[in-house]
Amino acid sequence: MNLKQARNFLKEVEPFLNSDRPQLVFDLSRVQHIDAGGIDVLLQCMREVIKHDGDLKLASVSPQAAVVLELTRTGRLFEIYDNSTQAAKSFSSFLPNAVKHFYPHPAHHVTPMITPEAFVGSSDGADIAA
Amino acid sequence: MDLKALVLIGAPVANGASQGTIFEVPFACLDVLGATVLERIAQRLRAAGISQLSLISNVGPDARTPMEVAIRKARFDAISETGDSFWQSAEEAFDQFRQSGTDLVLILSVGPYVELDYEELIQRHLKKRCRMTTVIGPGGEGLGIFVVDASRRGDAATLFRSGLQKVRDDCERFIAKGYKNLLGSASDFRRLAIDGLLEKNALRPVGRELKPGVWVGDGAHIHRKARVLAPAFIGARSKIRAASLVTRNSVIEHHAEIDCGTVVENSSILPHTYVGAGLDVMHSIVGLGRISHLVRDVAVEVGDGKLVGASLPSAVFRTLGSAAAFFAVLSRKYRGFSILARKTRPARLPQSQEVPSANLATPDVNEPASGQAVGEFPANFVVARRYGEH
Repeated sequence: MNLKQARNFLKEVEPFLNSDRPQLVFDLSRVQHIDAGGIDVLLQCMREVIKHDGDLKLASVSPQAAVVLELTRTGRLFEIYDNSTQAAKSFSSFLPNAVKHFYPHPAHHVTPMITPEAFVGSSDGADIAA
Repeated sequence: MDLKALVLIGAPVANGASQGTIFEVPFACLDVLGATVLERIAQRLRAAGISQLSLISNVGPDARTPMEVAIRKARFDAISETGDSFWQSAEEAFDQFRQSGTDLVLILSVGPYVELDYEELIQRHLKKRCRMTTVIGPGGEGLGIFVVDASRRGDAATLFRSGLQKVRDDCERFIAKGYKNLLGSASDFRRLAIDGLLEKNALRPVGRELKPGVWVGDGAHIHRKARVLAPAFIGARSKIRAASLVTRNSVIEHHAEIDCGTVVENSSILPHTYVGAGLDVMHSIVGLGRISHLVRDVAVEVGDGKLVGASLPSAVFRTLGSAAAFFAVLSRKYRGFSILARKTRPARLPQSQEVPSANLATPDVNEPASGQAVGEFPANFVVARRYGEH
């Protein structure tokens, strides 16, 4: 993900960032290269999400991207999960009990709230789910 | 007695590839504690009384520049660069030695780094009156070092044609007892540097020991607010900027630059490498615009010069680079400053977010929802879209 791709990505994802309490997962499984521009956009997304009282998590980070995240000290700012489903489930684990009654945890429910099919690939290699 | 050495580097293995490379450069051509492995091997051979060193090399185009530098520093007497005819060139070089009246030829394939007493090896070969002696490790593994009588052309041809794999049954075995490193992977290369720092091998850092365990080469610049924790090596004319930290057996080779606030931990920075500001370089070998992470076992090409790049050669280029960066910041801060600056408009929300989900039926306020099933998808998770598609 270079600067140009990162800017396009930011433009696309901006509506989600500005929504109320956004809960976002970026699937980076197909991001093989990421530079300072890409890191900058991830940080911008994180800043906007926190501003709106939400959270942003990363999933399926490729080893190449993980090296750059570690190099730039940004890996420690994000919760990183092995896959998108785990990342999405981690959001639901913080639901209050009253809400859990109506929306039980996906693992104990016949119809999951988030299906893996909800996380599909993108042209730039980053997936989003809100 | 006339003794000559034939050093082979980049020898093709059975599957056609070359062994022991990082970023497509043979490990032997890379600096370890201020000098290349090739240079150190050449020094040891000369110290053993070998009159002439010839090199047969086979490297890819990416490795040509570091290879040329390494060969120049090692000062070989004859150099032969080959393509597909590597072993044929080796045979021809051996034949030339024979014709020039050489008594013994030491054939050394530079892959593994072996600290060997060459004089003892040659004495043993002469004492046993054998045609060929091969050097093996304690486990019986071949180390790619052979002593062959120059008159035994057939034996040498058999050896070369088999890719140094087959030797005659009556070949004498010499067990190497000293330090050895197979240099088969990036971890091995890093281990070689660490062992040198810890004085487990004969690789001595090129520089002076400023304080116990910290070696610094000539002209190295370490900022007074930078910290270097022993054991560590800072190569000649390298720069360690303010607030940076070099620790845990880290090696900064010559002309490398570590920018402000960067932490280098248990890593090797190759010559002429720039490492950007505020980074964490851990368990890695960095150089030639790439990072080889030893723990993750992955090599990453970093195209961004702000993170990892080539160190600029002079102050003029640095000043120009800083000026360019300054104008880039200005153009971002004041949008009118640059004609390229454009105000971007946020994209519209996707249609799926504007239209209510089919699963969310209109609630019937007149009837209690006692017998009604809850919608399959909760309201807060109904939107999932593919980025880049509409």
